[in-house]
Amino acid sequence: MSSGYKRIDIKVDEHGKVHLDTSGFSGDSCVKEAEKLIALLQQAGLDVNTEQVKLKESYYAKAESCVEVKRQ
Amino acid sequence: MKIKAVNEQLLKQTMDSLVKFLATQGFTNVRITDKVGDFYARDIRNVIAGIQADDIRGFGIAIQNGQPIIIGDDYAQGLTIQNFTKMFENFYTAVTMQAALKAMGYQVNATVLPKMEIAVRGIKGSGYGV
Repeated sequence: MSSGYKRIDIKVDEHGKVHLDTSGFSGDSCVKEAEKLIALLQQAGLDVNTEQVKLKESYYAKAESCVEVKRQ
Repeated sequence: MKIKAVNEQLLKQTMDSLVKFLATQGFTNVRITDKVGDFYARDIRNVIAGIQADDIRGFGIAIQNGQPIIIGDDYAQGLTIQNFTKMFENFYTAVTMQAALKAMGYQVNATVLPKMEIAVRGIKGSGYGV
């Protein structure tokens, strides 16, 4: 996908866990974007603990859809 | 994800969303209040924001030792305090996510799914929204 748009999909599940999935990013820019989002959430008063980070295959190439993060 | 501190603006948006959501779940006359009854409604307490409906005497958010707590007596109410707490925490988290994504330049939308799950999508970049 080289359309130039970036997407972040978040699901707050029934147990309050947050699942985050990104697409449209290149290389580690998705990780940086996720970190920026986490920093804003912490500033807003949420206690964020990263439980699991799954880097997608495209993270290592010219990534388009490169990270999937689970947070508690 | 835990709520350590409540932001008043986000809380107001959360309560507005909860009012709309509860109205779609069959509750009538859902409204925001600043007082809810605790302990069989004998103890009326001020809250920073609370919700009442015809079938809900009231649940609200108060601050105790700097932490948000949910108060309300759920005896014979249409909603348990556990369900309200879960609903509030998920809505507050989703509202905070939306605000953060907007601050990062994303266009956002959110959908409430079954089992009180909430999906939030943020999109930005050239070609989107044209």
